[in-house]
Amino acid sequence: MIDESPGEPVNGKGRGRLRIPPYAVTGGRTRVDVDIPFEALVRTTQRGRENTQLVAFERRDILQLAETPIAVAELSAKLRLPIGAIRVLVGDLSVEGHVQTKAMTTKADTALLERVRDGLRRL
Amino acid sequence: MASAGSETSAGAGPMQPNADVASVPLPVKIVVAGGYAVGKTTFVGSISDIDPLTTEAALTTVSEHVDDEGDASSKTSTTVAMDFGRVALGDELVLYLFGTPGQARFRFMWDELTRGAIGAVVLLDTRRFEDSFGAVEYFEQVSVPFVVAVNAFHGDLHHSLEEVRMGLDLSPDIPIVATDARDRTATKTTLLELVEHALLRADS
Repeated sequence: MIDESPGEPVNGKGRGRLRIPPYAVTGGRTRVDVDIPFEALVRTTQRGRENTQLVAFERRDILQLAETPIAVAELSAKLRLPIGAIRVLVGDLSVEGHVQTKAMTTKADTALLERVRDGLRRL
Repeated sequence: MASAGSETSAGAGPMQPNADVASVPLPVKIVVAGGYAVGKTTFVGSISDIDPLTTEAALTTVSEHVDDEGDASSKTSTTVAMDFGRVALGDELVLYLFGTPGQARFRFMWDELTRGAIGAVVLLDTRRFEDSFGAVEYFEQVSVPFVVAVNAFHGDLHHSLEEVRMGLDLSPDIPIVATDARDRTATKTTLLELVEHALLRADS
């Protein structure tokens, strides 16, 4: 597993609003899988669970939080990182097979809209 | 493809079966757009299973546009705070509601937010409905299903719904409803109005 580069500034767990700039968290890259929607649900895979202790910092936080499905936006809120940074991290973890994501990619069709309508009515 | 044609799982590497996300609910999304302090977060919170959370989008893509006005000193650090909530719709669906500012300068955010969205609720305060012009115009242009919901603070509408429709120059086929952002039932009714509207459009 590739951890964050050595010497990277990480201010531990005591957090202000943003612990580190997003580009530092993501190793300088900002455009990996930026298409992952905000509401995409992220779930740690078996492989991710096995490797949780091998990854560090925010990547490990994500693998732990995503033991139960959690949206990209929720990860952003809970880890207090901008959503763009979360998307890059999740994109990396996804490429490595540590997480999977699930989201709509096309417009909702009639069948899905009816399911949403019925679900709302039952609330 | 059966019924799964509109959903996808990413990140299944070559050797990874899809079993992990098979049991994960499908997330769907509705955008709640409106001006400052119009009650977006209240609206979301009235129906959300969780207290609304806040996420910050730092818009890195902004840096790709070279603006003629040349605001070179301001790096790429346009950030928008968005409050959002979550409603489980049975075991297989989970609805996310994202609040976003309604003024036209937040347009870059709407492209992102409306992708894959069921539609949008434009929440409006009749005393300041100019704050929502941008959102209305945008959703009409990109043909995202939307409804206009007038938030009746304390049960008061300062203008009739028809006056608001005229003021916004809203197409006759766009529903406009009165709502109360604090009230779960009113919020639910507003969301149902949107889904029904989206269904009508999907059929035609």
